[in-house]
Amino acid sequence: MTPRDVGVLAALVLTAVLLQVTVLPLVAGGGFAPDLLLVLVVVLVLERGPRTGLLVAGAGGLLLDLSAALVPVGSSMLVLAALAYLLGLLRPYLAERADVTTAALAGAAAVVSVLGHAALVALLSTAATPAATTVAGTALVVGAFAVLLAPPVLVLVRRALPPADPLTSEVRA
Amino acid sequence: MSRRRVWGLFVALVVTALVLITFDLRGDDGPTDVGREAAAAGMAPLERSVSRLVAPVRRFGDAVVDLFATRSENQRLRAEVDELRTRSRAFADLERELAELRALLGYRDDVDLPTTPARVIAVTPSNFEWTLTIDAGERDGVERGMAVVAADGLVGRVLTTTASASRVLLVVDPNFSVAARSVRTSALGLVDGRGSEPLRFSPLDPRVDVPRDDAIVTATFPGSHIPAGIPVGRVVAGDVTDSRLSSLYELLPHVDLTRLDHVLVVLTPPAADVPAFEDGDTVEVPGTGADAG
Repeated sequence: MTPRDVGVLAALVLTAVLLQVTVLPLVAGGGFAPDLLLVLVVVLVLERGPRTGLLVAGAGGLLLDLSAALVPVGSSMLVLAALAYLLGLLRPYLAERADVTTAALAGAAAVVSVLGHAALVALLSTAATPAATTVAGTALVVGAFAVLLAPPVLVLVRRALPPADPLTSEVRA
Repeated sequence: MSRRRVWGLFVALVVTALVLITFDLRGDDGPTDVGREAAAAGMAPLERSVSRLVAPVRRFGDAVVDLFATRSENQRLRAEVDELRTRSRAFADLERELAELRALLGYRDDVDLPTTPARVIAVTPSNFEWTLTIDAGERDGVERGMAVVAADGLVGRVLTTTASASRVLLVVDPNFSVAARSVRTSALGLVDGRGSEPLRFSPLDPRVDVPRDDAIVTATFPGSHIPAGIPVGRVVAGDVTDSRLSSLYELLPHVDLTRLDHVLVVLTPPAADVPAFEDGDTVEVPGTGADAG
C-alpha cells in the first residue's frame, strides 16, 4: 500500500462515516440507518483483498462506534472485522469482477451485520432486547439499501484507487 | 500476502474490539468516554457543514413529498383554523384570568421557559440506538439531563455535552424514561421508550383508567431538569397487560422524530433537591431556641 492509497482510504472512511450520520438516515426515512461503511468494507475486501478490508473495518468501525452514544465502543469494529474476514475467505471462490456478486454480497453482509448488532445489544446492553420482528424488518431495509449503495461505492473505489499492483498485492485465485 | 498475516490482523482487531467493549461496559469516564468526547468535538464541525450543505436538497425533497398532500391538507387546515379561531377568542380571556389568579396566589410562573435553539447535525449511526447530535453545547448553557423539545412536544433529553455540541437521547430509545402525567385523569406514571415500537405509559396506580387519545405530559420531581407540562404523546391503545397489579398504555409521540431539523433545549435548572433524612440528622424545631450542635 502506497502513502497515497492510505490517504485515499482514510478520506473514504471519513466520508462514509460522515454521510452515514448526516445524510443517509434522512434519505432512508423511517428511522433506519443504512450502513455505508459496511458496503465500503465489502467492496474493498472483494476489490483489494482482506487486508485492506480489515484495516478499514478496524479504523472505520472505531470511528463509527465513537460517533454513537450508547452502543458499546468496539461493537461495529467487531462485526465489521468478522464480516471482512469471512468475505476474505470466500473471495478466492468468487467469479472474476462480477459486480452483481459484489452488490448481492453487500446486501447479505448488511443482513448479517444487523443480526450481529442485535445479538450484541441483547447480550451487552441493559435495555430491553429488540423484538425479533423489528430486527427482521431492519435487516431487510438495511440489506436493500446496501445492495443499492454497492454500485456507486464500487465505481468510486475503482476511480479513487489505482488497480492493485500484481507483484505487491495478493493475486486472485 | 499470506493467509497467516490476514488471520493475525483479524485476531488483533477482534481482541482490540473485545477490550474496548469491556472497558466501555465497566463504567463511566473510562478511556472510551474520553474517545467519544474527542470524536464528538472533532466531528461536530464536519457534521455541521455537511448538514448545512444538504439542507436545501432535503428541503426540496420534503417539498416534493408535501406537494401531493397540499390540497387536502389545505382544506383540513382551513376547517381547523375556523374552529381554533372561535376557541381562541374564549382562550384569550381565560389566559388573562389565569394570569390574574396566578398573580393573586403568588404562583411561580412556569409558562415562559428559558430555551436555546439548536439544529440537528447528526443522527444515530446505529439501528439499535435512537440518539441525535445537536449544535448547542456547554457554551450555550446546555447541561446533561435537560429536556429537548420541538414545536409539537418532547424530543428527548441531553445525554452528553461538549463545548459546542450535545448528544440527545430520543424519547423512543429503550434507555429513555421520564416521569409523566395523564392530562385527563391527572394520574402520575412513567413513560418508557421501546425503540421502533410505540412508547409505553405505566401509571403508578394501576386502577386508573386512562382513556384513549388522552394526552401525556411530563411531570417533574426533585433533581429533574425536565420541567412539568411538556406534551409527550397521545394514548393510542388501552391497557395491554392482563395483570391487575400493573397497567401499561401505548402512546405515540407528538413529534415526528425522523424529520427533526430545529429543536429547543429547555435550560431550566433542576428542581430543588430535598436531601434525604438520615439517622443522626438533627431536626430543628423552630421556636424552641435550642439549636443542636
